[in-house]
Amino acid sequence: MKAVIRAIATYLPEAVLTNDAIAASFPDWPADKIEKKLGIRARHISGPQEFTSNLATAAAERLFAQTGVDRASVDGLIVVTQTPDYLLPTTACVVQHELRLQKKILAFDLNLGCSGFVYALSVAKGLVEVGLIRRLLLITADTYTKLLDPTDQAVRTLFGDGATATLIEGVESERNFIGSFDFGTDGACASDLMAHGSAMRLPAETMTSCLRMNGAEVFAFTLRAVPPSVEAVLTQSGLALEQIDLFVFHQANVYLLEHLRQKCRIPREKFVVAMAECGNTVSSSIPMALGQVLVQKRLRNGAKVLLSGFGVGASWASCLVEWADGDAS
Amino acid sequence: MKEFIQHLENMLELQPGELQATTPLIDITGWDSMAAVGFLALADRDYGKAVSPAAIKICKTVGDLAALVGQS
Repeated sequence: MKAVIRAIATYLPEAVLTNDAIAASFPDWPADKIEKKLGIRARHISGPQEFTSNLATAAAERLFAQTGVDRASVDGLIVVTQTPDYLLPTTACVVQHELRLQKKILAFDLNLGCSGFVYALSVAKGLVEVGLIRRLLLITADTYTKLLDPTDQAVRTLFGDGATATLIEGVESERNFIGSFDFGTDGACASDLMAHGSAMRLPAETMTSCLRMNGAEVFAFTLRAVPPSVEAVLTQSGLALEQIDLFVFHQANVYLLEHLRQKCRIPREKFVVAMAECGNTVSSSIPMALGQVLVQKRLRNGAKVLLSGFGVGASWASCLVEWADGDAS
Repeated sequence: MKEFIQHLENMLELQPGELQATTPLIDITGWDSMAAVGFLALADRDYGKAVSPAAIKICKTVGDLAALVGQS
């Protein structure tokens, strides 16, 4: 039994924060400079009554509509989020009910950010390939914008809300569709991207939950972690860089992505940048970018795609996905 | 040093000759947190140096930055 990605759907909340609106709040940060430096034109913002479970449900409904898959056949649900509706209950339980999925289902949350999609792929692969799960819904959903300090120019510019739903199925096949994983964790960088006061441990000075990012440290971490991780996937898979059809990295910002692309010597035409209209959507950024690539029909059957997610934690993970459409076996 | 200053001027979109080794960072228009990130990228790309962001914070002049990437 092999796990295979069947389809991806994306949901973005309706409200949009444009560069012009950001520039109006921060006069030293003009709209054209934002787009030039970070490659972001707009980010979507969840409404005051719109939470992670809502975004997750909306993305999954799109997936069902798009694929015609019978929701009653889904027997596994993973929700990757760091901004759950509640600390408890688990978001996946709320979403199981909202989506009217069967009760005999494995469902849990996975608390990771930018590396979360790749981590969840590894878990999904394991569950499917040992035969525990046949059809798994992998959702990424976050409302980071609810954690942002309105006066913090950097994070308000970068982050946007959104969700994706990916359908993963088991098929009888000899092909390894998801594999060559490389994982990494460096908790020494934990405080470089942290939502203070967001759970039990409260900061002394304030009770208000708020995200703080040390952008330079996060950038430096990325330069240390990502190129060796990409190399590790290539070594493990026995493939040369030239044999990879597409590289989809976590869409952090275009400045960082371009630097990583050059450092890893990846040709521009094989490197996906897909964040202009949504900003950095954390764990949703890789599946959203993959979704755009699918819409553009840039993935042929058998295409080899290298994924790399990195960020908050610090946590990172990379892997290789072999794209299969139609009859995957 | 000359080449380093050219790289830095280029990154900060300044005119050639605007910076000297003795120029205080605090006097440079556009020297901000984003520029510090740009400097990390410059150090990595042009000099193969992994500079620590904490080390940038204690730099006072252009010459101090140059020293971080082994240029003097």
